[in-house]
Formats: sequence, structure tokens, C-alpha cells
Amino acid sequence: MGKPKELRILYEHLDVPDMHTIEVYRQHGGYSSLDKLFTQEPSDLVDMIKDSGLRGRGGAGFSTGMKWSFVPKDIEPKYLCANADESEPGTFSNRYVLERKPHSLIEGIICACWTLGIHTAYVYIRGEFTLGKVRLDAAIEEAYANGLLGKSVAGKDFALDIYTHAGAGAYICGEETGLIESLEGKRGQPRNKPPFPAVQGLFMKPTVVQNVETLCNVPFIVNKGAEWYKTLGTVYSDPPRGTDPVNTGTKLYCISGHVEKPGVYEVEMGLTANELIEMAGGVRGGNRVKAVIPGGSSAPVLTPYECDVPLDFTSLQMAKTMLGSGGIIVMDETVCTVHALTNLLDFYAHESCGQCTPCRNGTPWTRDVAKRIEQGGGKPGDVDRLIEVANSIANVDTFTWNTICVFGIAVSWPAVSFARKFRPEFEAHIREGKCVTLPVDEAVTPPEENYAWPQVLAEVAQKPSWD
Amino acid sequence: MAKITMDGIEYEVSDGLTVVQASAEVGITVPHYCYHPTLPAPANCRMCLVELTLPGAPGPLRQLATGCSTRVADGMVVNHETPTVQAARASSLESLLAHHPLDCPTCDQAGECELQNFAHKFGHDVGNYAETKKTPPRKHLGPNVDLFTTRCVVCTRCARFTEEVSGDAVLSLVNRGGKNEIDVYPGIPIDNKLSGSVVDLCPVGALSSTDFMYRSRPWFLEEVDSVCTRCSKGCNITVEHRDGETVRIKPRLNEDVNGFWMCDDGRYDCDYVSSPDRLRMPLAREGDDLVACGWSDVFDRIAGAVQAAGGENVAVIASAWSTNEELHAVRRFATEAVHTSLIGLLSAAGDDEDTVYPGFTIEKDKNPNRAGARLILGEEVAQDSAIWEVLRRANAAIIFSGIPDAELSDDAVATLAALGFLAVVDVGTSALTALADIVIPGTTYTEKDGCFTNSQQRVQKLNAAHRPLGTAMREWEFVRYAAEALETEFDYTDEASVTADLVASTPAFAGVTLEVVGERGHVLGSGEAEPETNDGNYAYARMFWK
Repeated sequence: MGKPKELRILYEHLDVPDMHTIEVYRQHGGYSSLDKLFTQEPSDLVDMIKDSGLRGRGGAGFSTGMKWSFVPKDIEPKYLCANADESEPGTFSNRYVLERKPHSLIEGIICACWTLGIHTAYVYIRGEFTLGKVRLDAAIEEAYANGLLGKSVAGKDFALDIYTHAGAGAYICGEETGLIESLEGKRGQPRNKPPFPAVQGLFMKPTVVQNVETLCNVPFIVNKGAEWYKTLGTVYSDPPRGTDPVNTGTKLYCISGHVEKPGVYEVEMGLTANELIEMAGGVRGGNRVKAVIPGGSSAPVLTPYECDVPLDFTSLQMAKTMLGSGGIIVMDETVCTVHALTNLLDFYAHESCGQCTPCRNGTPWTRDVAKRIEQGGGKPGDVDRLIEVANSIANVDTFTWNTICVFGIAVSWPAVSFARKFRPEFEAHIREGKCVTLPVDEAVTPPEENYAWPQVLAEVAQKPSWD
Repeated sequence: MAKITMDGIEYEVSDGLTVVQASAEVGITVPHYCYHPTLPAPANCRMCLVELTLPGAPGPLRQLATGCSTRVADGMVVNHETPTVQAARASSLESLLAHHPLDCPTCDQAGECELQNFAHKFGHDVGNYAETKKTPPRKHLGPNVDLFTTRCVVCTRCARFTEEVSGDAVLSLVNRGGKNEIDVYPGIPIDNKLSGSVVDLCPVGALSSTDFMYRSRPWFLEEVDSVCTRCSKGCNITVEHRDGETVRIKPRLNEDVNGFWMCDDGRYDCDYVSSPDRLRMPLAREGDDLVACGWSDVFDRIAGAVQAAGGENVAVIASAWSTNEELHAVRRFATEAVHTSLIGLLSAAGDDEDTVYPGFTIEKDKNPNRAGARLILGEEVAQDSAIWEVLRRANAAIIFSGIPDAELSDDAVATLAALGFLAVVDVGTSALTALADIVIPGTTYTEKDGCFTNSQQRVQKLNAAHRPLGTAMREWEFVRYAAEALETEFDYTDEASVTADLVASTPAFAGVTLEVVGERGHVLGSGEAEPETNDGNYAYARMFWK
């Protein structure tokens, strides 16, 4: 592949002044997909999205075309919810879209709604995105004024209304059914599934909830075709362990933490964590990497030994972590991993909606154990206790959770992975009775133990057919 | 019927049941806190987790399923006791107990607490929680309800009840995550007529009844099935008593009448049933005072008064709070012993209209047995204000009351004062007894057997929880002796003999034996005993709702 370069597709022209206005957006090719869109049958478009291999960018990486094919055709009304409640720590790519290129989201919504026969779309925006909401509201108004929304979209016999809704600050409202409940005016508490939103979602009607980034990809696929889209990214020919091999397209990687040039980098999927860190100017002051969170704070942490893993859905899944929202947090050798974990768990204990037992009591419990270790009150056996308590919310080894939603595993993943992969540092805290930051080599559990990615590499080495 | 396999055994269960109900139907306990069959299932307590294999699937689902939100389907396989299931619910229980104060020695729920029961059956033997416990303060949520916040498992049954059944949504969750608490909005207490039901619904000791608080350990209580007297609905209830005193009244499931609920009017009845003002012996007037007298005095004076006034001038007023049996005995007494046609029916004043909640209706007629009285005394019997006309035509009267807090208008008082003789059967001192020449102690519904007929024409059985107070006798017994004093022989030896007489002589009640009435009552004219409407709910109630 050579040295990876930024490839701006979604973020193309992002820095052009006044790109948030319809005039400038159109000058740069905006809304050009609509001409092709309305000449195609919705069912062909669903096939096209399915064929393109586009996977949901919100976290789970579910095939978008597959999701759309589950939407019942004969039930009206149906709804689209654009999930702009970007609240995963370490993730900030949607924010730039809303603030600088809001029309690209509107274009994506129009494409999705035509494809699915939806006439009402909601954009659920994180409450803190004040500028983003102002810009998007203005853009929607412009779109109405230019005949791109309303009773007749672009002069066609197709009606579409878009409404925006600001969240009130709850992380859990980014979970699709939590979002739906919140949009309905209720407490933001995720629903039991099944039924899934595609069958019974908003107001108990079929609903498609898509991340902003996913929707922004759609116009490009419509415009340039699935074949073009498939040339981007990586498709593994013989993926081990039955994983989904498709990682087409570009990804907006948000890199933050101890790198020289933090920010959002749009690249084809498949570059490694090390390459991305290099792209972001390397670790600050030439320090060594101690830990990398690859996909938002919920994703299991990577040690320096694992940073050669490609940052795509398939590889990260095999490395027993996930691409998630693409929020990459880099921590250098000055970081105490126990403190880092405590900070994360504080966030999750605060953000648990509290409706189901394992999460309501488990998240503060996990936090309390970690905090006790960090503050020097740890007792022998506390690391195992921490892992046990976290695993009782959701078991990371069997990938099962006792909770209503996946928030449970979003807590267990970082808790268990930090405790296992940085166990020497945790044990040092307990032994010394105070916070001690060990050098990287001493803080990390030796690579022979507990590492998924080196094992995968060894396994893959036996199978030359894997790309 | 659906064929499902549970723990390796194939069962046939009713269609449409949840896994929790179907398991109850075959006798398997699926622990749960948040689920209640009449409320939406939020599946939040994560106690009813089971391993589920969908019909036709090669193996079980990877994630455990919640038995409360899963409905059985033909061919489904359910396992309640795999190691994963056991570990999952034990860990949910451990979480629930983490912040629990373990104050069972002073908790009213101890002994009937699902936290105790399930921890005993499904929990760990050792708790691992070593962090600081939360200690949110106890809250007074309304006149009848306190919340011991530390004991709460946040199952939200109570909140859903106020949304779905009482409809005022006064209870809800406040705060988030581990700080979740049930609360009311400031200044809006839970103060509707169904507020006591949230205490029943609470699976743990969190919501407590201020009425019952610290009154008795539940295991000392004895229970009898009965019927509420506070309106014509006839809610099925359980009367819980100890040492001859009724201390708690709870609803009993009858899906055709009251479902799982009852209103607070009936629930807090123990106040009058166990009131110190209850009459314990007959009283006779001497000047302005009523003084204790013997039963022979009572019968002599009644017989003397009836003979003096002439039977046809004596009014006999029956009560809409009496059982079918009592009403029948009173009717025979009036017509065969007193020989009068001046018969009326005393009733409690009703409301202008039913009190309707989204999931429960309190009926406007505040008499438990007006329907039975009309069948036994005749449709044309003088009722309500018409009884005063009957009394004005009489020289003497025998009034059966038993209605607590009955009020008399000035006209009524004048009518009664004009009578030459007034005998009153009542349960406590009242406006009526104040005017009486003879006061006869009556019995409340907790002290007698018999049947009421509710507004649906449903005959329902009540059972005596304890003996009549003091020297009081049951009304049928009093009637028998009073008739004897008037030289009329009634062949009554016990309640059953009165029932037999009623059934034999009143066509409307033909064939209504106690077997036919059963636990859930019998609608007159509906033929045989009714089929059970939903076995799942009754199986569920027997397992979890006693």
C-alpha cells in the first residue's frame, strides 16, 4: 500500500470558507447525487448500498444495505433518525460535518429517505453541539428555500421533512433505542430488543437509525457507484473465524491524546495504528506509546505490542477490540493506566441510565474498585475483583451481556482490558499503596500472555490467502 | 396449547403466556422483581434470565433471554438452571443486595420479601461488595406510603402502576444511573384511592404502608378469603388477622372483578373493623342512657313491642350491608314472625358517579349487597329515602344497619324519634343507636360467613376471620331467637342451613351452592361454574402474589 496518505472524500472541501452555505456547497459539487438518485428504483439503490459494503460507522459496523433491507415496505409511516449524538469520548468527526458541511448530511438523508420511502427524518444532535445545530438548522432552512426539502424534493413527486432535536447531555441517548425514547420525549433509556427499530422504532413505527458519517457516505456511492466505492479500503479474501471481511470506504479517524497533531484524518480503511500515529505527527516529544484506545473509550485498549493492527472492522475484531466510532486515544509513557481507567469508569458510572440492575450497580462498583486501587487502598486480589465485577455486567470473554443494551459491555471492555493488559501497574499500586507510574516495559503484561492480535498474526501466517 | 420443553421435560402450557407465567403454571419459579403480568415488562431487573432455544433453531441463543418479555411458542426450549443462567441471576442479586441495608429484623416485608426468598434460593452465600453503601434517606411519599429508599431495587413496578392503572404517574424515577430513586414531584404526593396498591406491588420492603408499619410480623398473621364491603364492585380480598384482630387487608386476584387491585377505602377498613368503639353486648335504654342488658331482655322487649304495636305496624328495615343469608333470614322474620309488610332496605349513601381510573373503577354504590337485597326482598322494596316513608307509617321498628359512619338527616331523626319503639342492630355506636331503645351488637364482614351479590350479579363468598366480639351473635342467630320469642320456629342451625333455605326458597339463587360459588364467584343465571379465564395469571398469582 505504501505510505498511507489522507484521502478526503467526506471531508473534501471541509476547510473552504462558507462551505456550510448551500451556495458554496453547490459550487463544490454538492447535491449532484440527486440527479442520479431519482432516476433509480429504491430497490436497486438498496442493492447498490449492500453491494458497496458500506458498514455503519456508529460503532457496531453492521452492514448498512442489510439493515435497510430489513425495513418493511408496507408499513407507513417510517422514520429515519440521523444519530448526531456524538458522545463517545475521543470521537469528534461528526461535529465537523455539522459545523462546516451540514449540507452533506442533508444530501445523505435525502438519498436514504428516497431509497427507503421515508418522508420524515429526525436529526438527534448532541446538546453541546450548539454551533453544529445552528449551522444545520440554517442549512435545512436553505434546503427548504431551494426546493430540496418539503412537499416536492428537487421538483420530484417526493415529500421529505427534516426536524432537528437537541439532546440534553446523556451519553446513552446515542444508543439507538435510547435515542428513540429520548426523541419521543421520555427518559433516555434503551429498549429491550427485539423488536429492533427497523420493525418497531420511533412511535412504534419502522425506523432506521444511522450515524452521520454513514449517511454522508451514501451520496458518494449513489454518485460514483458501488464499484468505485469498493476500490477504497480493504476486503479480506479469507477472513479467519467467520468475521465480516468487508471494510470498504474511507474512515474518519479522530486521533487525540499524546500526539503532536491531534485531529480528524480521513484515510482508506486498513492502515495500522502505528501508521496513523505517525500521520498525526508521532507521539509528543518523542515519547513512547504506552496505550492506544482504538475505537472510542469503550473499545478494549491496545498495548504497544499490538499497535501494528490495521484499524479496520475485521482486524480489530480479531484483535478482540473494535473500530467502534473511530476515536483513537493515544497515551504516552507518562500516563498511569490505573488513573486512565478510573477516569473512564467515572464517566461510565455517571452515564449509566440505571434502568437495569447489572449496569446500575455494576458501573459504580467497578469504578469504586478501580478508584480504590488508584488511591492506594487496593487489597491483594482487587485486580481479579475488578475483572470479576466488570465481567458480571457483561462477559468480555463469552461476549454476552446481562444488560438491556450494550452499554454493559462498553464498561466491561475497557475495565477488563486495562486490568489484564496493564496488570503489573495495577499490582504495583496495590503493593506500594500509592499511585505509581511504571515504565512502559514494566507496566505492560508480557506479550506472550493474553494477547489476541499476535496470536491472530501467527494464525494468519499459516494461511497465505489472507490479504 | 403450546408444547414447550423446560429443563428437559416437555410440557403443554396455555398459549400466549410469558415464560415466567408458563413456568409458574408447571410449578417452576422464575425469579423476578420488575415483571408484573398486568404491567408493561421493562425487563430491567435481569433476574428472570433463561437460556432460550427458539423453535427450530439448532442451539440456544448466545445471549440469555428475559423470561418476562418472551412469550412461549410451540417447540421452544427453555432452560432455567444452566451454569450461565445461575451465574447471571446470582450476580444480578448480588448487585441488588450491594447497597441493601439488610435491616430485615425491623422490615415489615421480612417473611414475604422476594429479596429474601430469591437470595435464599438463587443467591451467593457470600457477598463480595466491599465498597461504601449508599444511604439515601427514607421518604414520605404520601399519606399512606413511605419509601425506605435504601431497600429499593428500582424495579419501577410502582411507577408503571401509577402510569397504567391509577393514571396520574405521580411516582417516577429521578436522577440517573446508580443514583436512580423512586420519588414524587415536590408538592404532589401519592394520594389517590389506589395508593395502597403500590405497597402490594413492591417486591421488597421499600414501599411501606404507614397503616401496617411495625404492626405485626407477617408470619404471625392468619389469612381468610373474603369480599370487600366498601362498594358494589365486591373486590376479592384476603383478610389477615391475628389474635382476633384484623390487621391487614389485601386484594386477591379475580380477573373478572378486581384483577390484582383494590382501593384504599376497603384496604384501610381494619380501622373500623378493629375499632375500640365496636359494640360487644346488647344495650337497653334507661332514661337518656344505654346500659348493658342480657339477651333474654332483648328478646322479651322486642316481642313485647311487636305485640303492643301490632305486627302490621312494625317496620323491619334490612341492610344492604348484610349477606344474602342474613337478608333472607330478615325477610322471613318480617313476613313470618312479625307479619308486617312494612319492609325497607337501609343503604349507605353513594357517590354521584363511579370513580374511574384507567385500570380500575370504584363503583358509586357504596353497598356490597344491594343487588342481593333486591333479589331477596323484591325489586319494589323501599330503598334509600323511601324507607323513611315506610318508617313514618310504623309505630315500632327493627333496623338492621352495620353501616359504618351512617348519617341521618333531621327529618330522619324526627321520624325515628316519633316511633314508639326502635331496635337497632349495628356494629358500633352510631346516629341510629343514639335513638334506639334496644341496641343489638352486630357483626362485620370479618366475623361472619355468607355471600354477597355484587353489581355484576356475581355471588361471592366471604369467610369469618374471627368470632363475633363479646357476647354478640351473628344476625341469622339473632333473627332465629327473636322469631322464637314471637313463637315462630326457624330451622336454622348454622350459616349453611340458612344458605340452603335461601337457595330452596328464592328462585334467583336456585342451584347456587358453595361449590358453584368457589373462589371466584358465580354470576346468577350464568349456568355452571365459570371457566378459568387465564390460568397463567392465577398460576402466577398463587406462586408470587400471596
